[in-house]
Amino acid sequence: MRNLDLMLSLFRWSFYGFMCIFAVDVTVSLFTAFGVFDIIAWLLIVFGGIFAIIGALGSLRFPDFWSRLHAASITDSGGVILLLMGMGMHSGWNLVTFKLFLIGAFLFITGPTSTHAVANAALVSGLKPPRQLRADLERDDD
Amino acid sequence: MFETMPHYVFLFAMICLFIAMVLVLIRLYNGPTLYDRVLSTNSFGTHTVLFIGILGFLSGRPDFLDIALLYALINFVGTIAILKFFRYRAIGDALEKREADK
Repeated sequence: MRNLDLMLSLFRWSFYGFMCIFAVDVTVSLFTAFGVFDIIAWLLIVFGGIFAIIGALGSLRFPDFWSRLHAASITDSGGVILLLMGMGMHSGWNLVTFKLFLIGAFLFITGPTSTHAVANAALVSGLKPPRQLRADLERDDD
Repeated sequence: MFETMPHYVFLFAMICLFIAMVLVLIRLYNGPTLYDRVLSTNSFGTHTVLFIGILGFLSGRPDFLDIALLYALINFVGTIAILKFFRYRAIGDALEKREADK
């Protein structure tokens, strides 16, 4: 029994060692085949996609409108910044980078504006904030 | 092995954006209030802008970014127009009413 445990731990640690060697090998071959900026661009694009999914999931699952507003602004800030920066670093310096910068600047101006317009219209039309927040606001007024 | 790595990365981002668009469309379908639907439409437009850009990079023609820029413009104007329509029940004649009040 003790020999079995020893053997299993031996297998386990050799597996970890092989995985470490494999990870180092993949990383070294990636950095030799491509530049550092390519790797950074891919990381930015992958994390931008993940941020887009996080924002959409929050916008689907959150309980009321005001928290859904917060979740939708994650995509408008994090996803847009990361994806556009990743695409710009992947393309290099040319006209495409200028177009990406133009799209980013425009989304940066219009995203908060339209979010504020939606929130203001909802508040004016009488959609109340949730009960706990309302109680906190009334207690601050007193 | 890593020659087609950018394709995999862009494909991953495209699949992520597609799943996010489907989730936002589900919220658009069963949003309880009007403002949930407007917010979902705006978010869907932002996702579409990013999707068009990624699609251009995936197919090797980044000229699609012009279409993405145009879509961003139309998306903002459309959101404001929807909100204004549901506030005043008309898009064009609010100014005339205000001049008539004077």
